[in-house]
Amino acid sequence: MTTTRGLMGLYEVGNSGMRAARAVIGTTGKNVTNATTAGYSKQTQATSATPPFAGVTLGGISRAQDNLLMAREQSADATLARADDLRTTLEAVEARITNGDINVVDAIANLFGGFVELSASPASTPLRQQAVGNANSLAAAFQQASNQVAQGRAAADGDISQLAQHATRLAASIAETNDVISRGNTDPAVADERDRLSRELASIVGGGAQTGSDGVTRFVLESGHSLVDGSRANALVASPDPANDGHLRVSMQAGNINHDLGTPSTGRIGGLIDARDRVLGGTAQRLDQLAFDISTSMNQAHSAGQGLDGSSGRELFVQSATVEGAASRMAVNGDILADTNALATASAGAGPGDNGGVRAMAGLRDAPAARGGRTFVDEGIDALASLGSEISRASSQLEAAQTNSDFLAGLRDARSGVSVEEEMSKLAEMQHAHSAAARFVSAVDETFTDLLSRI
Amino acid sequence: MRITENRLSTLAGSGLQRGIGQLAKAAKQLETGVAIEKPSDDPTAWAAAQRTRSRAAISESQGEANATARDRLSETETSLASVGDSLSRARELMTDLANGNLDPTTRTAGAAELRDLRAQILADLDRRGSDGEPLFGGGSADAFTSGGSYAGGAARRGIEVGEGHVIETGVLGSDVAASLDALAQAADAAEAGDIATLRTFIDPIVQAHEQAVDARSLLGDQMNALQSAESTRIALADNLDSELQRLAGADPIESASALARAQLTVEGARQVASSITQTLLSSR
Repeated sequence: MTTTRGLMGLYEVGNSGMRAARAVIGTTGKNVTNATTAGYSKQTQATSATPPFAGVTLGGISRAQDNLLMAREQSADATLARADDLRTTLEAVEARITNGDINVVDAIANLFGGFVELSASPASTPLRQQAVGNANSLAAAFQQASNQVAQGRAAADGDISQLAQHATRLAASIAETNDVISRGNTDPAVADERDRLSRELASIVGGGAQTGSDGVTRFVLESGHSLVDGSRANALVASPDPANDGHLRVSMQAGNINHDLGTPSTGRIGGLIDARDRVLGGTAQRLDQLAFDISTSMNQAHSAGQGLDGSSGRELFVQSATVEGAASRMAVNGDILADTNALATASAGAGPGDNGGVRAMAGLRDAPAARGGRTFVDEGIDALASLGSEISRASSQLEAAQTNSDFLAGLRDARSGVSVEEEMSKLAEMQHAHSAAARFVSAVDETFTDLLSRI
Repeated sequence: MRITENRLSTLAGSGLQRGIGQLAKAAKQLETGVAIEKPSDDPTAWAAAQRTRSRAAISESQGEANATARDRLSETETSLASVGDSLSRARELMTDLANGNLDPTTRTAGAAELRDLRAQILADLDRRGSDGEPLFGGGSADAFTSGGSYAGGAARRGIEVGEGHVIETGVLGSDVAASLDALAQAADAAEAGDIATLRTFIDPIVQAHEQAVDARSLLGDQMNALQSAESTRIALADNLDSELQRLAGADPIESASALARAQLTVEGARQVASSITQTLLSSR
């Protein structure tokens, strides 16, 4: 009887071997089919010997994952995304305001050039029309540049709004996966999905997922607020900020409390806010100031002059009351547009052929009357070059962030990636193991049959 | 470090992508001849190039102003030449009329010619340029009254012909108008047979003729100054052009070399990608 019980036990030993081989083959198959799936972590079926040497016991399926590396990747993703969105937003505006008719620097130079030409023949109708046309083109350039900057800021607001909504959805999804895991689901694919969602959320808002000593996974923002706390998720809300001309501010809504997130230093939203407010806001201010200064100086000189119609004291540009919005409102005096004889080319009291007035306006070209004591041309160049510098800096940051991200991706792939060759080797190994276990069961069966035949 | 097939494929793809990006940039530079298109390409170089462009635009306008001024001076010179010829004939005629033996008919004819010469001089001095402005008016709407009195201004026209370079141009009618009264009175004296009075006006006409010669000489000096300034300006414009090309332009030989290097890089990356693909396929 002891022999019979021992033989029956051997069946179980063989069966456990085949079960284990099949389970490992299954896990290997999952790995191979997901070798190119983004975010998939290699899974390993745990096996152990059943004591005492009574077969194989299957353990759980674990995934190859390094939490520290994941945290570093989330941070790198957030930095990369910020630089990328910052650069993309600014490049779109730069392309439009530095080319062709919208280049205010070229328009300023043409304005003064037109006055120089007109000074040689103040009564010439074609030259007067050209000079007035140049003034009109300058006003149009300022309007369009200001418009393009405003559109860039509005586009950033649109993106911020969409990203806030998407981040809210991602937070909810993370909370759901936390709930599934907390209910005992140990499928590694669920954890992989949570990691993937966390990375995507981090690239949008910065911050990262953290698992506390209590085992609860939270997604914590840069501000320290928890966007996700276990199975509970808060929402990101983008709302107009009256203190910032109605541009959107992003806050985390936790119950009835709104926590303003300011300008995150990482993540796409942080990049967009930075581009919108610091860079494009600064560019808009400089354009407004430049337009205001040019109008003020030109109007002063023009008012002191006299037109062919004998009139004096007239402004060349419609003077804006405030600096803010001066660029978008810049326009040539309608009286001068309607009749170029109203353009004041002579000095007051002099004859119509005198060119003192237009020479005074042409001379403003070298006047240090713009911001920082610069000439108008230099200030225009500096304003546009500053925008270029910001883009150049963002490009450098992007390149550095991309290099870091690539490096971390390599580390993750080394740690968690699937090597098809390795899996194929394991597959062959398990096939042999399964065959061997099956042969063992067959041998036990033959032995049992032989034993029974003798009883 | 453990390298998976996925990683190999990713590295090969990103290498190829980078190479293609460099190739596109090199091709565009070679095609357009421009290396710095926008501020972010190189903010410092762009700013310097833009500054040069602005100077070049102003320089071009100064050239136009110079050309306009020279055209006007040419018109002025033509009128002054006619004035000089008229004064020369007037002096000759007055010398003949100062001969006391002429009969009344001849003196009357001579007086009439003197008046015609005065009218011609007035017409020449009152002429307007192609822009409608009086050539000798000093900036005023009119140079002379119908009676021949100077009604113009006292200012010559300053023309900006170069960076910080202004040239005063033009001749005032008052510089050469003294002959008009003298000719009118000489004609009256000739018709009346008042030889003594007639003779007193010969010197003023001679002086007026010298003034006209001096005025033409002044115009010549102004024309030379304008032409010299234009030569200087053209040289500056050429320098600005070269500087702009140096700052923002793409050297064609360098661009072609960069293109060739980029092509080699892409080709190399393609071969690597192909090799990796072959390796991965054969291992399966």
